[in-house]
Amino acid sequence: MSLSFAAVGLLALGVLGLGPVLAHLARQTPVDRKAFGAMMLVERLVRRLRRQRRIRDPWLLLLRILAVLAVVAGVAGPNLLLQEDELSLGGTGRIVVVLDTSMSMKHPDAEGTLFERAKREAVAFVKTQPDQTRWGLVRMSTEAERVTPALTTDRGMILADLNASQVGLGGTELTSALREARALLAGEPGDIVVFSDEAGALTVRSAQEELERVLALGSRVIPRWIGVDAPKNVVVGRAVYGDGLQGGTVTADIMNFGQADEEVQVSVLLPDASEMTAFVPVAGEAQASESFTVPPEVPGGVAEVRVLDEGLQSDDGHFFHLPRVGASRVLVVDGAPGPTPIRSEVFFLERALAPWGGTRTGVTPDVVAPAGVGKLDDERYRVVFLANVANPGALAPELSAFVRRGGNVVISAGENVTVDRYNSAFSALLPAPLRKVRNLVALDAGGGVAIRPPDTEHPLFSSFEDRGRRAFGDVYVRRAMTFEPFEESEDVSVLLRLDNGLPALVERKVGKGRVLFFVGTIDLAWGNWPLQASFMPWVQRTVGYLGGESAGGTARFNGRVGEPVLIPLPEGVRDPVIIGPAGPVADRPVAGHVSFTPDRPGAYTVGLSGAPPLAWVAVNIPPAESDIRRPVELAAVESEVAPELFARSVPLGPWLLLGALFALGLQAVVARNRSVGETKEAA
Amino acid sequence: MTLWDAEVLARAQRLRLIARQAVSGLDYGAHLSRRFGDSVEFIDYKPYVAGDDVRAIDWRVYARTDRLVLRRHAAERQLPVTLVLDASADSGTGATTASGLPELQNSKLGFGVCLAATVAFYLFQCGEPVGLRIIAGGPLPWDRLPPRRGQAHLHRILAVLAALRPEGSADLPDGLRSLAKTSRKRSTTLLISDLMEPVDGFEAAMRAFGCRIGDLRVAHLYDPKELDLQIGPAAQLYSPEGGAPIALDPAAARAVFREIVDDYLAEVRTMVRKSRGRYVPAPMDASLGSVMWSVLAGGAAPHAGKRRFA
Repeated sequence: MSLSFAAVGLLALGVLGLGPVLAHLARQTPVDRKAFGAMMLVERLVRRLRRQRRIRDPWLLLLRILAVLAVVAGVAGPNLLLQEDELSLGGTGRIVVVLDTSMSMKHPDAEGTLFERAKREAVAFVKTQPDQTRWGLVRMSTEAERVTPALTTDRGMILADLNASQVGLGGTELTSALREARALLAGEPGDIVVFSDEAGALTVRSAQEELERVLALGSRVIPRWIGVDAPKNVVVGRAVYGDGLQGGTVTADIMNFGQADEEVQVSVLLPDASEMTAFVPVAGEAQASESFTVPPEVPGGVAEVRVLDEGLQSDDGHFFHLPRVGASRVLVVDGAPGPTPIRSEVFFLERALAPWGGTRTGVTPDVVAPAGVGKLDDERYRVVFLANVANPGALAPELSAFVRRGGNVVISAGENVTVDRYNSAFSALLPAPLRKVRNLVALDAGGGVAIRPPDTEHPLFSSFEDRGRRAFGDVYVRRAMTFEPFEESEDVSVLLRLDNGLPALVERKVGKGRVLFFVGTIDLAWGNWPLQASFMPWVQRTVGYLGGESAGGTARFNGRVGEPVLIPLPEGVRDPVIIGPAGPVADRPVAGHVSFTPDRPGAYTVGLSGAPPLAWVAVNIPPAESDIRRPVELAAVESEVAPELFARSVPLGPWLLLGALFALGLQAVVARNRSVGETKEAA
Repeated sequence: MTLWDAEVLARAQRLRLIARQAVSGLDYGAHLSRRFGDSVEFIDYKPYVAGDDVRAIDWRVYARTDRLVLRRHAAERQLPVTLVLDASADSGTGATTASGLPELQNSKLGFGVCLAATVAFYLFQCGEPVGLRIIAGGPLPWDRLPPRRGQAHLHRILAVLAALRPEGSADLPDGLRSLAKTSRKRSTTLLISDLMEPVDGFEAAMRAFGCRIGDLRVAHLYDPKELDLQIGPAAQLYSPEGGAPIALDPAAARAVFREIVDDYLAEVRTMVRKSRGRYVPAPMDASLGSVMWSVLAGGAAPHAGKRRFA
């Protein structure tokens, strides 16, 4: 709110005239002079009267000053500038209606949805404008759509287009919509009336530059907010399949964009149609995490986490990739089945992976002899243990390919492991060429060389803190495979060392997979590790580290509704079929790729007819669209850019003159009363 | 103007006449001193201690109570009185003679002069020494006369009073301090003044003065018409002692002025009481005899024990 004067000079003149007026109001000095013997008391009298007059006279003086000022100001013609919250039409006769068709407009309203209300209000608005108005229509979603190629006076066509508009699942691209509206106005001033909920954290602020361009043309953007005071929307912000021994867990982040606390039903729908449900409390404008333990065996694919909320329901589902989950994710190739349990690597591995025998949780590994290893299914196996395998030559090609594709191999030494055979067969997998088997202590002596505590910064050992880390000191190795000298690099690193400095556990990255080589045995032949406290968690962590975090096999992609998804195709694959939640989806081949634009969230597969899918695509709603809050109002940003548009001028002249008249009358009454009082007192 | 001017001599004669008329009817007698002595006036008893005069032992009391006590009697002594007259210009408001001297009947200073002359005459009649001290005022051959007795001294006092012309500003604190240096202890001082100075300014000096001389009496000269603002229509009032004039409408300010006068009189009374003195109002319209009677015979000051005049 501010004040402006039409005649500043007149105002100054009035202020100058105020001095004589005040002088006139001052009391006149008597002429007679008299000697007075008690002047000391008169001085006291003057001081006391001055104090009293300060209280009594100011009211009269104030009234008179106010009256004079009001007269002067009233004649000067001041205008009060008020800031209005809403803009009115600029009167150009050129109006572009922007209708928000984004997903957030599906939010329930008292009479249907926000979109239906927006349509009703837009139609009513169009009907109330003059006949000669020239109209344009823009639909606003992930991409703005210019419905009318140019401004038209055909009101009926605009109304028909408005009624035919449908809400979609896209985002709210205000920038794009304003750009299209500006194009419709063709550089001339006009009014852009936006019927939108303005939802999204950055929706309005990101459109500020385009808004400035529109306003620079002399146009106005008139927001007609279509929303509810207390919107509700609970969505799944993120869902990931975490590593674990068997099946692992799905962790979902539940986000509540409403202000009220909610307790929502959250369900995980797995590819095999099985479902897990939990009730998750989420505070207002906060998020909560919930973990779901996946059953022991689940086929790989695209799974969904779905919440059940009363607000916006189109974004209740969130799709994510789930690797094949099964009890046989670990394959143990037993090179030397021991005669007794303590001489069997499989015995210790099985108990480390499934401490309760596989009845409750844990991994029951598939165990095969070296000869039984065929083609390794990437979806089925993520980790292969080679336990004291004597002749790895036959396995080498398949294992190498398996690792390059993303599989993982753990090799342990033993009496069957021969340097020459391993070096020749596994040259592409071994971290370094093997040198020889070395006795670290005398065979008839007790104990061995201990393992140094690991570096807990490494993800494999991150869970070994404090006592768990020191437990590695109880592990000793009596006999170990040694490597030819090698240097650690980005691909080759020593994860564990013996006390004498020899590498104990070495990792090498090959292709998308990893190879771990343990220089001892994972039975009691060359050491005591299987009996130590650190063995079981190390094995479980190794399986999780190598197999839980990566998905193999079918390629996996993510996409968003309304945005093109580009899928690379293997060589020789042509004319793939894309199947979405509603059936086949139109695709567009692009030089070794296939592209399609999903129109709804869900699981999409890319493949050839009658063959396993080549790729899975998890398509979700744009996350920004789920945030139905309106942190910044379009009108507020517009008032920042062009505050003069929101100013309304109110003439104050007549009111001031009226006030002056009132003040003059009031001061006359006060002065008369005072005069009468003084006369009585004098009498 | 000298003390031998005809007008002064006539005024002195008139002063004597006024004084004589004022004191006529009053009894003259010896004054009782606060000292103990050999007079027949009994004051009180005192326990006997070795060295006391055994002639003063009251044997009758001894016979009755078996206690030796002495009878004490008042001593008859002279009572020197110093009259201090404030002749500042403010005191001179009122009617004046053609030569500029204040009229004895219609001016504050004239009333003060008459009061001083009356007291001096009365004390002369009683045979007591009386002195005079003038504060402010016009130039005089003597502005201070030490307490003495005798016809010639009285005539000198009356002549000085007759020639007194209001002038200048009375610096009461300074005047009281200088008077304290020359006054005898346990003497009596009668201050005749309009006391038109801020009390804060001379309260300390008056208190010190009162403590030194032991008997201070203050005759407060004032014009009741002035203190009631009976001064006619609105005018610019000014002080003869100087300062800026102040425009005042008496009718409008009278009520507030009365409050101020009441406050001021209360202040003065309190100040005199704190100075161990006796406050005596001396309005111009009061009779000279009654004021003098209040000054001399109004009873002893609260601290003065059993000493009293007359």
